[in-house]
Amino acid sequence: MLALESGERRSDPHVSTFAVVALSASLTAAMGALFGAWLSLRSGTAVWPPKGVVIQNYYGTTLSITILLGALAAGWGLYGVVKGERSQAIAGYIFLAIFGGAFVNLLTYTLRVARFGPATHPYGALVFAFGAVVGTATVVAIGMALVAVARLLGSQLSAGEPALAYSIAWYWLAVMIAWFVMYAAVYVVK
Amino acid sequence: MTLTATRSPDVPVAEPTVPVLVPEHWLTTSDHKRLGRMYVAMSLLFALVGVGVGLAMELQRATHQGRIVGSDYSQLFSLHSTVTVLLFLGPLWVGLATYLVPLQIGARGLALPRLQALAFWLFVTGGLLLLGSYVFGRPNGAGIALSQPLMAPKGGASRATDLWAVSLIMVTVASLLAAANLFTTLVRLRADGMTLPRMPAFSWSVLATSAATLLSAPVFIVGMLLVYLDEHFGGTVFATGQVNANVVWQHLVWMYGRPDVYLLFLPSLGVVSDVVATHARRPLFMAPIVKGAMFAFAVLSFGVLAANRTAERAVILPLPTLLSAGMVLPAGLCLLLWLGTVRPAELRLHVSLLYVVGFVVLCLLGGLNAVIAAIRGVDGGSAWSTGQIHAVLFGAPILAAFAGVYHWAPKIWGRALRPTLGALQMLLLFGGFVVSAAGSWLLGYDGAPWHVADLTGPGTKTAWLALVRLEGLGGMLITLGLLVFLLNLGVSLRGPVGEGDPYEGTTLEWATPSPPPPDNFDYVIEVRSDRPLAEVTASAPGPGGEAD
Repeated sequence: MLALESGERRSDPHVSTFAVVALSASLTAAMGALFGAWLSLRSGTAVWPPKGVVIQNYYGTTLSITILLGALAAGWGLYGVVKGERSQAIAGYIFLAIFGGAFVNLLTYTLRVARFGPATHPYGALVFAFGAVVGTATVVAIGMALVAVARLLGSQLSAGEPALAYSIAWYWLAVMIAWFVMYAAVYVVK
Repeated sequence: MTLTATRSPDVPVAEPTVPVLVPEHWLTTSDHKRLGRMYVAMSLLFALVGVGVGLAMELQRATHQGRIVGSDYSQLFSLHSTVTVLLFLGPLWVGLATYLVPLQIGARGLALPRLQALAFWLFVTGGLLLLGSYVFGRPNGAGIALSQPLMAPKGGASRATDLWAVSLIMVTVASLLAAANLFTTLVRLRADGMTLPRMPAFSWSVLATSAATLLSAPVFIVGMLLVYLDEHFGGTVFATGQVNANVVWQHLVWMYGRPDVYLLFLPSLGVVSDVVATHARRPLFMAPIVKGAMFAFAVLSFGVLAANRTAERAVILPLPTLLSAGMVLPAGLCLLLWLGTVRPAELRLHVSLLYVVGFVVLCLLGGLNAVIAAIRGVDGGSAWSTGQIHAVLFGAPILAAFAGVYHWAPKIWGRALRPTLGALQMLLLFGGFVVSAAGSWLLGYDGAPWHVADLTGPGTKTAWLALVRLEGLGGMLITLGLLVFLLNLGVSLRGPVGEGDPYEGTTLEWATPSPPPPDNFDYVIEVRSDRPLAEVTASAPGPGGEAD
């Protein structure tokens, strides 16, 4: 057959997933740039953490656990969508939104009690920039999870149309990478 | 089998829409054709602002008193460079790509049309806020393409600088979203049989540019975020005296700035390849090599970062200039293969070819000047660099973009633009860029610094004033050229709608009426080569003959 009529054109269910993966690559590039700036600053200034700043590993560990729980929830939602179990999928995405919210809440709290900021030390601007990028990315993920819930309720997200579920799974992976880049800079590289 | 034989009788042929300058529903449209036209229109409006500011700066330098823009020179310099690069040239390419890419690959639209609408309005809002930041106050002078730290004294939060940083973040996020959308469209929505190597050259260049933008633009966004945190909270990352401020800034933002400079040039190679092949009425000579060269150009653009020897504590490689010089190879290869494509006897003389000639001449002039400057040891921080930027990195892509506009005008607006006015515009633009760059080059050879508000103080030469005036004359010619284009557009759009394929084109955008119907194609051809329409035409029956 030489031609397909316009109305017969195959639809690609994974177009949006592909775009999300492309943008996730950009998120990773942004975190890589911040990590580079961090290393660049470290190479010529006082050691990290600056004097008077106490880094509590407890917060970092808790944030890591929270984001990993979010990954489980994203997988739960995807499983529910692919298997056609709507209630399971809804539960998964509600938990994802909750874990995302908890992560953002703890992240902002961690920055608030850090006893330093952009005005007090060059590292402050970098830590806050890390936090801003990771926090914004997580808020977007929460929004996607809530849209998924709405679409599940409206039967617009199903095993036949799973693109959003795959998009959320890929995107959460990028958010996790973003967080662990920040974690490595702030908590691991001494 | 012919093209018409495959048309289903049940599928009505859509009437061509009547093109208008301001499309109806322009606030809510997600149609890639309207968005493409709107991108082009907005970029031209921003161009007038950027060029106007540049003229005011040149007038200041050309007068002895230098009081036209006064002490605002460095701020206006930043405005001129950011508007012309980020709000004019970049969006002009995005506009052309938004309109043409789906048509060239046989798609009914963009992969995510509403995302492109979001990107457009983000670009417009960001652009207006950027101009607005100069209404609120005076944002700190940040230098061309932000390649140096903010050197202005810290005086607490400045609303103008805050707004300036936020607006640039918005504009860059817009370009990122557009790049993701175009990249996805090109990878996922190609017509059946259209493999990546079979894509038209312009679409191929957009693919390479989008991929590189996805990796480089986030670096700039992060840099501007740090600027915002620094400025808004009185931070010290980029403070003067901070030990590693220059290292952080230069290494971070050059990771964006260097590729971006070349990515603004890259679509030129695609446009010229398509224009030359169409009007030469021949396949692009060694097309896979041309496409490979474009891909290499995008990859190598990241490597030029390592050649930035002026950065503090830069990574000095054994042969740093090799990475800069390496950029010339893919572009030079394309030039040779374009020459190999053209046979004078078969050439269709179209006004877009004038722009191609101008593009090539500007590139050659820039290359020649680079050799002379290297031999004479001209300082990279002199006015010579201004000439190089205006001629090669800005002037040449502008001419290539207008080559594309004139070439695809029958598709975009349904009407060909007037060739006489087109030729006049080309002469004005080309002359303007050459005259302006010549002034800067000569200033640089004589040791004049760049980015200086007044060249009449101590340590300057009297002859410099004449050269500065030459730069100003070039700026005026460029402004006139842009105005002639707007006149041409206004005059030409009053004419009757033309035919769908005025050039006997061989790529898919010429398979649909001009301007195209809402869904672009009534049916989609299965592509079997990189010249799908030529294949269909060749298999068409002659008078009384049989189709294959």
